[in-house]
Amino acid sequence: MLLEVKGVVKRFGGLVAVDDVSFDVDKGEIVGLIGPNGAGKTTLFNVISGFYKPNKGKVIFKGIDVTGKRPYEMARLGLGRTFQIVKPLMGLTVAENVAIGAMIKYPDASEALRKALEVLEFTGLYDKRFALARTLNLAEKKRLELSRALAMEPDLMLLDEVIAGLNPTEVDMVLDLLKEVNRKGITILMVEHVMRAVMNISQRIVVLHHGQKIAEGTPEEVANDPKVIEAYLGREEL
Amino acid sequence: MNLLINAIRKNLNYLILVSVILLIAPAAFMKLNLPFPANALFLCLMYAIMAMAWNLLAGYGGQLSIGHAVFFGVGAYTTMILMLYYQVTPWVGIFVGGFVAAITGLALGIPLFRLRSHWFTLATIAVGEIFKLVFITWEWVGGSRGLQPPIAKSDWEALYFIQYAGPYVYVYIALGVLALELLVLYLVVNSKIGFYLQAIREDEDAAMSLGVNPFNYKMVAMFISAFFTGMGGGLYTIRFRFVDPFAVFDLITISVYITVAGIVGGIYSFIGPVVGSFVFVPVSEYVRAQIVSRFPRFYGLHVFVLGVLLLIISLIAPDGIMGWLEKKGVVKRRVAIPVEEVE
Repeated sequence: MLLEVKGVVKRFGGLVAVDDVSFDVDKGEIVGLIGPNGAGKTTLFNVISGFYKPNKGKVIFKGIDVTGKRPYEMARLGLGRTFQIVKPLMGLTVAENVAIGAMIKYPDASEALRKALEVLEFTGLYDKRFALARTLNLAEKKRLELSRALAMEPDLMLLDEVIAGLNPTEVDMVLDLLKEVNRKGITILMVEHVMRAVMNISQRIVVLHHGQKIAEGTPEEVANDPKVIEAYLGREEL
Repeated sequence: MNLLINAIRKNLNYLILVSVILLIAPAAFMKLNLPFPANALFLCLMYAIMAMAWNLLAGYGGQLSIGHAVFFGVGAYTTMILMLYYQVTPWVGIFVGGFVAAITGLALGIPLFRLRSHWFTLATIAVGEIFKLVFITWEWVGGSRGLQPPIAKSDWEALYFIQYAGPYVYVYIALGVLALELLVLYLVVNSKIGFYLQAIREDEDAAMSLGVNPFNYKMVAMFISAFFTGMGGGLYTIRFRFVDPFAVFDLITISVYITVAGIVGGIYSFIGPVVGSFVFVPVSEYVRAQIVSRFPRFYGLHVFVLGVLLLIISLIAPDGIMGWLEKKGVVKRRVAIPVEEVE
């Protein structure tokens, strides 16, 4: 088991954002984490990646209890992530952004830069390598975040809505990219709103609603689960 | 190292030109008996040393300090105390001063780096004022009267205590310190440390997600920054042979001047702070010496002129002189390029 989330609770004042959620992610999987707005998906991501300390429960990564570890410690353990609201290093070039990600494995700056260009070729941002990150459009910024996380050569990538907001061509491009990444042996846990995309790519899906896990299974199982349908479409009034 | 050799090779013509001018100028000033421009040159170099050091923390790391007078003062006092109380030559004392300033920086960094953005800046101002007050009341270091070194009685003592007439010799010493600093900073800025600092400046959360421990890297930047600022203080001690808390811990003429020199030159450029100092200090010195000293009732005019200069720069060139030159295409923005792609 690569990642185990065990009974995680995260409260903000009186609001319970994540309420006793447990699930596992196996090595080599692509797992989708879905749920309506405000279901607690991003909060759960922030707990796993070390940005929030859970009030209760445990996160176990590669067999190590990492509950409450800081984000940079998680990164060094092999966890790469993107942000829902993209956080490129705006004043730096695309190549520099990605090189900074690569430095975790390649401390020598010029080696990291070489690695960065390799990743950019793979993600299709090579032509933009000397552009400042702030000049990119949203689709490119998302791809930059993805490239940066990839350059870390992580074991597990947490992708927070890398597809939302892209046009259909771009969506297909990113999906192909993710499949390719997965084939290279990187496990993916992704939060996504675009159903077509998650259903297409995930082997397994976890559904959150009001901070609780309401379903887990293959895309077909989840799509036909009455509780999931209710969460998304509301209850049928009789 | 390759990077450094490459950079030197690429800018060889400029480097030779600037070095020759800087090496000849003080000797020429001495021959022609022009202490004023020589002294202005010394001050340019002193501020350039400090603004470069400040910029590692403020420009690269995004931690805007307006309290660098602390490190300047600690460096100046350390050099002076070693010379006066322990007969240690400032040839060594300047380095020890830098080191003591760097340790001070680390000690201050522990509480200061718990604060972010403007709260950090405000705290650095407060720390600067606290140091001034402590030194004013601290009798062992001369209190508010300050300290003066012994006067050299022989040629050998002059060399030992670095006491020479006029500013000329000190210009060369300052040049040496600046050269050493540029070398060290160039290597630091182009290494992992430099990139991680920029990542912290741009977005601390993103930096953390990439494996950067912001506190550790801010401390590294603080150490180096305080070290060279402290050496600037040591230079002040040997040049002016008088250290008092009002001068060396001054908020405006030290902390703010360093900041303004950096901003005027351009904080997103490696050499910007040097350029800023060479523009800003001569203007200030000229106004102070030629106008203020002749018309005492205009006291403070030089500070006013600097304020206006800063205002103009912020309006037409918010990224400083170097940023403006980059926009005009006169100089190229430095971006990280792998060695293979350089040619």
